[in-house]
Amino acid sequence: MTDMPQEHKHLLPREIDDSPIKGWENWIPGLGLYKRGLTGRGKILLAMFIIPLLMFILLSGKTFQVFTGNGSFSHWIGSGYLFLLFIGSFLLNIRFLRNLVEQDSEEKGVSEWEIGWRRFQQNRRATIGITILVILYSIAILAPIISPHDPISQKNVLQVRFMAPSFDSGYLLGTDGFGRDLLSRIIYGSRISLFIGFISVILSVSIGSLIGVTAGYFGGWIDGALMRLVDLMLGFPRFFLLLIVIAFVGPSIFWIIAVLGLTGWMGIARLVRGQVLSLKEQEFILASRALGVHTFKILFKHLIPNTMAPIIVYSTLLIGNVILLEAGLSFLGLGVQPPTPSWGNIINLGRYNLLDAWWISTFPGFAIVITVVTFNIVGDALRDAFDPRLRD
Amino acid sequence: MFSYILRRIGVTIPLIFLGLTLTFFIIRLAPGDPTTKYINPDFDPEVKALMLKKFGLDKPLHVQYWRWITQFVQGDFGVSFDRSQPVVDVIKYAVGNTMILAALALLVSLLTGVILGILSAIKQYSRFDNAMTISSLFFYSMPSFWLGLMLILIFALLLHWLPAGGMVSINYDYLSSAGQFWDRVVHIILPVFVLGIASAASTMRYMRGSMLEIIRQDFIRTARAKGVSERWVMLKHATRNAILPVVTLFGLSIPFLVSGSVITEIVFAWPGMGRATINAIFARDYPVVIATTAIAFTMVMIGNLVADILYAVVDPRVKYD
Repeated sequence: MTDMPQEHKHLLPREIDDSPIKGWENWIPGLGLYKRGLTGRGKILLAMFIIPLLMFILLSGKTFQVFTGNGSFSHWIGSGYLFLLFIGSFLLNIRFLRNLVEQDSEEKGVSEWEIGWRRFQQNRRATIGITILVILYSIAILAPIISPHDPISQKNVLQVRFMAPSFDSGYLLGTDGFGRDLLSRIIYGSRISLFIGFISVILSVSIGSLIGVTAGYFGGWIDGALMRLVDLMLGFPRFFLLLIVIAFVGPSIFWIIAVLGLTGWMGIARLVRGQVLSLKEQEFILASRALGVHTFKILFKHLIPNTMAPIIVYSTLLIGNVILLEAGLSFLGLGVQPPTPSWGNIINLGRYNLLDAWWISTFPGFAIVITVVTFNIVGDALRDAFDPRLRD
Repeated sequence: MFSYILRRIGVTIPLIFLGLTLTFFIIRLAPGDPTTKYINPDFDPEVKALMLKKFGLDKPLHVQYWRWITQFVQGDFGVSFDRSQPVVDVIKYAVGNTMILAALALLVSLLTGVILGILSAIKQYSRFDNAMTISSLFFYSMPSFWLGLMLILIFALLLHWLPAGGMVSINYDYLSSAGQFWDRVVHIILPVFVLGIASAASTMRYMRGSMLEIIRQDFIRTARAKGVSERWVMLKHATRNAILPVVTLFGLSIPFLVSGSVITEIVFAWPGMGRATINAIFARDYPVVIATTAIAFTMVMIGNLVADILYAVVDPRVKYD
């Protein structure tokens, strides 16, 4: 065992202290786990415990506002999310500790998913990427609680408009031409970008896998026709297609999601078809067919789950792309409509005062770059972890 | 080979027709017509009917479609609703301007992408390679309109080195011919950079991967074993093989560039097809929107066709039957 090369160490069980639970540190979520050597889980639970606690104390006015009866729906969601994290940290702590002590000595095999997951966890860029993504989505959910100002209301416009970023004025990233706080608008804008990216990619993945699995499994003229459809859709410059459809149906969030989803499934379809072509020749599919399993069940229970790993990799990379497209549409005025903030339309607004109010266009751009880079890093890391061809 | 090319053309032509048809119906089935902009309630319904009749919009859809497609293949794109002049005149220069921009961006991005990709694969894990990998990730993830605005802010508004937009300066007509050429050059630098940088980054990533794969192969080891110098191995044996897939990239970049040109043209006020399309969209000027979309689609299809044929020509290992 000692001469095992370093890169295969992740296949070994780690050395973990599993002595009986005693002592105060086990009552603080994560701390006990951390001391016992489960540092990864320990850090996550500690963060889940401390961050909501700090927010309850520091932002108590806004967090508990929902109980005084004047909170909006998204406010409720934000507060609920904090409470869930807080309570969840205790429950998970108990569960992990119990698992640790009652560990069964039975040897378990390591699945492909577990190997991939361990490789992924060992990739430092991947863990940083996932952490940033969790933070970004948390910011989006907590927008009503953490944003310092209202993103839409204009106070006394003439006094507060075009204020440069400064710490003293309370406008950390400055204000726009309508006197609205830029930081708050960027925080609220993240909800649009992250939400649209996620939902429309789910739509693309559903359509793409359905078409890919159908084409790959049935073959013949069905395959031919569906793949010609893919060629046709790939030939359309996607942005033109988005523009003409959005321009004529009108820019609403529903249509933006629908059109982005309906024009982004071709890559997934090709990917799934390729996988299915090789999978369907394998014995387990032959066995299912010999046993008389319904075709429908073969497709959805046996084929699609086996293509999940590459789909997840591909769709992570796709989300970044969709966020860029949505920002582009909003920039042209065909996406999310003001006054609802989205990163694209904030940049568009700043474009008319580029020289005297450079901050309006600059900061939302940084937000987009950070988000898209993170999705791409996580996607690359997932590919390294789950693509068996790259694994020696 | 010849039959492969013929067959490939045979697939492309129906696809182009299908694409044109799809474009027509997507645009025509959407709500609203060119008279929608006269929202004044006093707008006489008789005038409206006359206008629709003038544009041929009163006829059934299939008649309109047939008339449009027969005219389209003859190069007659109809009359612009908004400007009351033939669509050809509206977009004639725009198509050329977009093609100049896209072709230059394609050239620059392929060249820089290929060279940087090869260099960074040869020196894998070096400082240069890390810098290239990280910067390509950033440029690939950057919204082009934001990059464009930032470059305008820095190079045009703050430093005054380059113009902020347009194709030529106001005093273009009074410049000497060398001055005119230089004027065009300084105007095109930023748009080409913004349009090309994302595809340069993806070309670089692709090239690096392809080169790394080649370097690990046996024939490279053989070449080294028989004493060929490292420089020659890389330049001749490896690069020649790694560069083949770039032909495919050429095909893949075209839809990317055509799409990207829309935003680049808006940011830099470049009088091209993308700008014409956006203006026509806001004016509900169907014939122009249909024409630009169809031209963009045809350009992409022909680009793919050329890429496929080129690939068959340059790679003798691939058998087509």
